[in-house]
Amino acid sequence: MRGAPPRIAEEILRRVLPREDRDFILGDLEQQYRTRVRGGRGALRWYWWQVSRAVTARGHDAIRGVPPSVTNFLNFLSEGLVNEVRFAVRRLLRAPGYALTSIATLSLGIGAATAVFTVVNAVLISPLPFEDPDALVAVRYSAPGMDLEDIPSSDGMYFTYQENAQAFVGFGAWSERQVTVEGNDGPERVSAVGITSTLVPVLGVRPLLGRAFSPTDDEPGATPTVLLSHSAWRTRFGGDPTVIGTTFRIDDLPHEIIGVMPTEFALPHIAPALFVPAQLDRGEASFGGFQYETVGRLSNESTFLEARADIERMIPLAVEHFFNGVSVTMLEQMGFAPTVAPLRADYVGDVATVLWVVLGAALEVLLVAFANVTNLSLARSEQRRRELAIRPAIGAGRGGLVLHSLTESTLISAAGGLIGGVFVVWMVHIVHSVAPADLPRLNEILIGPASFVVVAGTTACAALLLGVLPALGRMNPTALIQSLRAAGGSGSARENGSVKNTLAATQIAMAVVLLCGSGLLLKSFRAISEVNPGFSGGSDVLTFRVAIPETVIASDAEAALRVQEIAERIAGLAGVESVSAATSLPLSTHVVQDPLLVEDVAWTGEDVPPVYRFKWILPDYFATMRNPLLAGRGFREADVRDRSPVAIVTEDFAIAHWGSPGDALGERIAMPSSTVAADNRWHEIVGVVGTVRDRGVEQAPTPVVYWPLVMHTRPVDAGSLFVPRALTFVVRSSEPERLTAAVRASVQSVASRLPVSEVQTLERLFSRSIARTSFAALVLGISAWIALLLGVVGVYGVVSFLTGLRTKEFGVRLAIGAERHDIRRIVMRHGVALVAAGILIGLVVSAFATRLMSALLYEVQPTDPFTFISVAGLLATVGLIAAMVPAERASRADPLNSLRVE
Amino acid sequence: MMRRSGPLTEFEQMIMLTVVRLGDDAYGVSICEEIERRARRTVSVASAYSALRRLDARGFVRSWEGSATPVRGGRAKKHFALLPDGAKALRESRRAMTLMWEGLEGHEDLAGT
Repeated sequence: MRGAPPRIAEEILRRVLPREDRDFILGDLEQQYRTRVRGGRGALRWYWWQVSRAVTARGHDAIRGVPPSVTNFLNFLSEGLVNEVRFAVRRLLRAPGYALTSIATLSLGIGAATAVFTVVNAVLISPLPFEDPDALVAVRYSAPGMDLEDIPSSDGMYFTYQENAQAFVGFGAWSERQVTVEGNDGPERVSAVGITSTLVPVLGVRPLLGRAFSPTDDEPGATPTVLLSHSAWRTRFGGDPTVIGTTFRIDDLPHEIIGVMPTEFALPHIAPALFVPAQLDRGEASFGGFQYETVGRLSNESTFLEARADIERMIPLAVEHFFNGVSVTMLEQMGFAPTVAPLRADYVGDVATVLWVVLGAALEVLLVAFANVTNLSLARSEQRRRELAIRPAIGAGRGGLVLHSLTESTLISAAGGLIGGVFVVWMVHIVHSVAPADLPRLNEILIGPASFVVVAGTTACAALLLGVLPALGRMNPTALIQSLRAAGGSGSARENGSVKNTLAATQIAMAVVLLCGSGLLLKSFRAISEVNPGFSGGSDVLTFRVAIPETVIASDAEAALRVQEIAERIAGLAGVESVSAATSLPLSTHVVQDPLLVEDVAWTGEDVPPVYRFKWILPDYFATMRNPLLAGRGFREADVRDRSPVAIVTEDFAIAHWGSPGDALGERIAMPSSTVAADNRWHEIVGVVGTVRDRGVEQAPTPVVYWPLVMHTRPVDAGSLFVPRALTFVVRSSEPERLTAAVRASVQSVASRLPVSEVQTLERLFSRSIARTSFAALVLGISAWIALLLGVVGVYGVVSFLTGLRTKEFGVRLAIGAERHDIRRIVMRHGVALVAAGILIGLVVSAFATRLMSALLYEVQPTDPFTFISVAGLLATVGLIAAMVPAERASRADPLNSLRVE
Repeated sequence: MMRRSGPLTEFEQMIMLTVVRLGDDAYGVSICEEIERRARRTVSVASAYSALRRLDARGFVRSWEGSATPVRGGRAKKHFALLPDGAKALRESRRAMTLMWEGLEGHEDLAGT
């Protein structure tokens, strides 16, 4: 009803008013409220005042008979609080330096800690956004005998599990693919995922709009349908809810849009734009073709062990039902075994270490900030000791004293917390733009209730810390007397002196820890940056990926011709030094691994031959990548044109088999298509190149076998031509980024419907692969410098302050004949002791702490002496300079003035 | 609540006098407004009721329920009236104060506006 009193206020009254009079009082108040509203007489303020008095009256009624000190306290609270706050504000305005420094320091610490916590919470702590997420497991396999890990499932296995599982209630599977859609600038390649209709129900998600795939949609040959990801819906369709039911062309086929997935729906390590039905065909399924990530939901009574045993039981069933030539014996030989792990581990991956390290750093910054502000607060309470000492003398109770202190500290902490909160919003925004693109659950990093709790909690801690500590010092009656009598150098100041010294030393120690950590990461980062992953001069090489689907160009031979035409067109562009292409680049995700036969090594056909990485390349590849030839030659135009049976291998492959690069030349290798040697197409090794870190910069190099782009897989049969349909082109030029538009145009001029994707320089590819380390190094570096700054300010503050207390003493010394350098020495001794203590403690703690981040280090010892010594040196220098300033000031003081100080 | 013995507080006296003055119209808000107008003292409705409850328990006032009106959110009004014991207590308080003031009207320490 309009004109009625505020609901919240009424609710409060309902709770505090005595039952027998409640309705009468409420009625009186409402009547008066309406009268005031009509008369325009501050009705709201009046009403709330009535509420506050009712609360107090309730308090009085409750404590009738309680000793007067408590009632005094309550009175003081209700009547004195507003005044107290007003005075506190006035006091703080008169000490802007103290107030601003404290607020700034707190907001930095609180903001940093909360922002990092928000990230860690979203990625590591909060459960996955699925129903009962702890029952979800990822099913994979390892085959240590073939040096393979993280093998996904096959469609045959998926069907077997669906039909035979006992420990699971259901399975879902998905596989990633690239599709072509119509974008603003022409055809675009986007990432899509084919999912079984069981996936969404197994995960326990509901689409935001529309519906998920039904089993009918998932049948092979069914009318094409598509589910949009939330981001695709926002960016391509403007978040328009009427897209449901409309048609969207994918790979040139019309798909009906049946739904939109919610924002937090994501699959591990991929961020697809679209979801289409996998349409797995049970009739065509086979045990092999491991390309489907599988997730299972455990039944209520199953444990992980039981789940794993269930999968182990079903693998031979899959081998039998979907036989493709692999026998159970072969599997045993490879050591083929399932790994069943909580799905969450999949999402988080190995980023956990980085995040915990980063969180540790943020907490340290928070502690340093707290220490700093506490010191400032103690110093300030010293300066006001007179005024504060009077209060107990005129009857203010202990409670009143603490309240007085708390009011000021709460104001400062609240301001710090508020600004810190704003920092959090800003920092989370930055995280979204700067974090490694594959940071898991990035889309779930949002400011939520947990963030507010952290900000509120740290603010409250700060308020208590800053408010209670100084007040405690003041309540000792001996201290009181001494303060009132104080003519400099009061006893309580000395007591507080040890606290302040400890805090300052602790700040230095924490700065040491952070600096050591960041120094180590920096060293790792530098070491990694200098690793040669199989190419050099990456900033001069533009790369882009082109796919030639069979729907666009059906004939393999024609596809090969087009690829060469593209290369020729690009080679003709101005500024291009060389062009080539490969099925995959080092450090990229597109990988082909297959068994390989070496002619020297006999193969019985009973087991699976060792597996190696394969790449199909055009000539000039190694020249463009600047991976030097160690022996023999590269591929020639003729090799590709004539489908010559040649191959090139990396140095580690050559050495492993024949002892040296030169000895590999002339040897023969083949892809096994038959156990009969003569039926295999043997390729002669004509060249050996440098090792390639294909799996990642920080990983060991992997042997790679290079084939000419076009080849026959069998000796006689012309129909066994193999032409890869997806390639990454590499273009070396002095200004690669300028070429982007020209390159696109060249591709389109050869075949207008071919989309170009993943356009980036080799250098960018490299930086993205080390993004995790560089991210951690960046965050730790920033934290370390903040801690250093705060630590130095802390040392300066303490030395300066405690020296100031001894002004009179120094004056006396100077007057009776001490030299100025004696005074300087006394002060510096104090500073040196502080800094030395801090550095020592810091180094000891670092020795343990850095071990925790050894997973992030590359070719650097956690206790690297150079780093530790450098950090110690840096802090010693900076700390001593900080102590020198007050030392100089004390030695320059005029003894007459000092003696007058009181 | 137990009957409490002892003198009336100043606040209680103000309440009771106002109850007398307002007669039938003595209820929570009107009492507060009257005290505010006369004695320039801000009184909250809750504390007035608190005092009235105590006075009721000591048998100095009595209360009865009036009618409910929409302007009160449909709630009834509680009216108060003085009882003879209350009147007696008031007169005693008055007399005590008068005796304390006796002879001091012109005293220099009490001079002022």
